[in-house]
Amino acid sequence: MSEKPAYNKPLPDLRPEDATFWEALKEHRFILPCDDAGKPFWYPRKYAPGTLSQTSWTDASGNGTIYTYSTHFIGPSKAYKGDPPHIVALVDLDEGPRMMTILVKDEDGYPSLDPEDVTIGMKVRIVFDDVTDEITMPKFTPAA
Amino acid sequence: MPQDALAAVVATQSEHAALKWNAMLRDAVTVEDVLNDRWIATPFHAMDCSLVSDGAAAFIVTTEARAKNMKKKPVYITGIGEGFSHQYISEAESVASVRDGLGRAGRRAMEVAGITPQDLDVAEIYDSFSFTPLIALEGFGICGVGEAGDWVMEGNAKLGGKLPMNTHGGLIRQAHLGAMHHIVEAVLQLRGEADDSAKTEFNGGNHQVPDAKLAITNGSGGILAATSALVLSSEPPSAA
Repeated sequence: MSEKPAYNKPLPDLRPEDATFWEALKEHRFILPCDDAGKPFWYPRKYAPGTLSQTSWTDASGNGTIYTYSTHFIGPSKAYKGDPPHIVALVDLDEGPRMMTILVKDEDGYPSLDPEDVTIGMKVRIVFDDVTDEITMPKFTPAA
Repeated sequence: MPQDALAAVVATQSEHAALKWNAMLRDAVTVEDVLNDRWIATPFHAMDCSLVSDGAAAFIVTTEARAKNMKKKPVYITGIGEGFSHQYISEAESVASVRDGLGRAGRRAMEVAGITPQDLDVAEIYDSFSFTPLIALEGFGICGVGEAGDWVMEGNAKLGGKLPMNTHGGLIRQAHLGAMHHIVEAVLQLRGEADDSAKTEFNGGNHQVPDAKLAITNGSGGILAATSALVLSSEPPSAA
């Protein structure tokens, strides 16, 4: 297996309303934003959709099911040039929300899962890819 | 949606763009050409994706009274509708909720105009990707749920078919200027000005739908999220 390349792709633009989320990921904890009734939602933001209550946070299992996916043969910018195809998936988290993510083979978030190894309805679990000292990306891999 | 159905949208619109004097892509392609094209992101080959274009389009919206004093025959807005189902695609509940959300635009526009899909002569349907018009055809009620793919593959969207669609080639073959050219093309169709045969220097052809009186057109924003639609008519709305 090839060595994991240095990360040269765009990084998230951290904002006050999602800093808590990224700080938890850095500690390899997956948390979800939720409303004042404790209902989790995706994506992180300051006010909960629907109720407009202040967002609070809840621990999440990191387990989910593939709702659908697409194999991307080119990336969104030059930083992806020459990369092998990667799989963008919508994952239905066990806690309810649906999240867009990337599917990978291994625990360290690399390389991409092969398209022939993906099926709709497949169980997946989170892996934490420490792409820089500051940023950890949540990616998913087939559940054991 | 079968891959062949997506390719049939591209092939259909490429035949129309071959006649449209100012289309960026003038070559007619086959379903097989599309299926053999390079992948961008499944289920889309490069030809399934809309173009990147610089350009401009314009139309004047004014009162009936003023329009009557202008040189060209006016076209009337007889119906308008809007629909919305989600913000980001991860927040979309299902294909059905998206179809219903964006479909509301077309269904409402036809309701306001007092017409049914069977009354339409031409459809200029927003086509960011080959899939986009298929879900709109179903959402608007032009096709039944799950039937749009077969409907296009059977040739119903071609010039001469049941309801010619994107007679200018659309965003996939003519140019991507939002939905501006969809409206411009609908106006040309309803005025009877969509025969480009005289534009010999541009190798123009005839993409006029004979005797077109009623058109539907729409635009969309976000990821299949927000849609608005117009019913345009060659005749003024009835006083009743």
